[in-house]
Amino acid sequence: MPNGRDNDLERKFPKLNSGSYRLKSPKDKKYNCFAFVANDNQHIWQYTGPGRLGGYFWPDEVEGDSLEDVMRVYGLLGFRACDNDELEPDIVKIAIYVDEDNTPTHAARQTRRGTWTSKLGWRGKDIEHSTLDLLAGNESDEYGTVARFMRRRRYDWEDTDQ
Amino acid sequence: MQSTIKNSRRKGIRPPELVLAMEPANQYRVPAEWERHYSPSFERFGIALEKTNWTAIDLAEQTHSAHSALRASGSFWEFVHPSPAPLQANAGVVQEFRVLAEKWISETEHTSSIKKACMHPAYQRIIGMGRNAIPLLLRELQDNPDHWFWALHAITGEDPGQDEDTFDGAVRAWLRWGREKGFI
Repeated sequence: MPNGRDNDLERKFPKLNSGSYRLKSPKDKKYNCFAFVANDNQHIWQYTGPGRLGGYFWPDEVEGDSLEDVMRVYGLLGFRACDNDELEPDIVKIAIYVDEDNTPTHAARQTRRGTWTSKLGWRGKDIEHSTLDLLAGNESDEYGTVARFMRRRRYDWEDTDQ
Repeated sequence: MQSTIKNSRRKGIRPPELVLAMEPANQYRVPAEWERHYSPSFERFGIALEKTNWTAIDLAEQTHSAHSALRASGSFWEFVHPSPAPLQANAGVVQEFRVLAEKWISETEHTSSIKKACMHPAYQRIIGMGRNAIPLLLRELQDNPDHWFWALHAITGEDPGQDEDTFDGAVRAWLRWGREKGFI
């Protein structure tokens, strides 16, 4: 994997120091990781309560942002829970990270060659990372642990730049 | 003059009847029965606050300007700004806001959950600044757009971006609201 390094990023995610990753975009505030794994770069997917604060997207069908709620959101897009992150032909998998309270903190999408891609926060960059572990942990800005995997059939147009 | 107001900050009785009259914007009204404590001079008003041991910080932070005038209007005295509140006149509030905003931005850079980011102590303290923070938040939204919608909504109870589901759409809606209300 080509490896444009980012010192600031490596300070915030120390495991990137020893891993393989590449930057895929400049910083962008228009979308977050939960949107990104669903191929949406125009919205910030965020549950803001029953009243739905303007500026965010969250499907009407789901009231809440627990791990189960987030899985329900991706379920609306055809994803189903699975138990591993192994690369399978014509299948796209996503991984959901949680913190110690089991609250979703991050999501990543598997590429066609088995690496992972994700958007760091809602202000950060898109990166491709060789493993999920590179963003896992409890140091600095790390996202906790991967709690769930989901899968669905990969669209032809998905991740064609890999 | 500002220092006079600042010096009047002490534990005391916060004027409970202070009414923030938002229509028209930038007018602040106090009951006429306080008349004996006031004069048509804002400076003397500050001194009066000292004498009465009231906490003037609300008025100082809300009115900002040494050029504010006090005038009788019906049964109220009004503090009337000649123009939208000049933020630079209240450097303390601006400085506090800047420190908190930069801390929040720095420490939530990679947070994916806006909800979690908005629970950050610095963000909560900005919300705690109340209406004083509104023009600062809107100015920040204008110059360096970020997720200030939650704070603005928490302070004002309004959501002009309610029909917007994009970041840019909500920024535009809040700035339009701010202009209409005279905050920016």
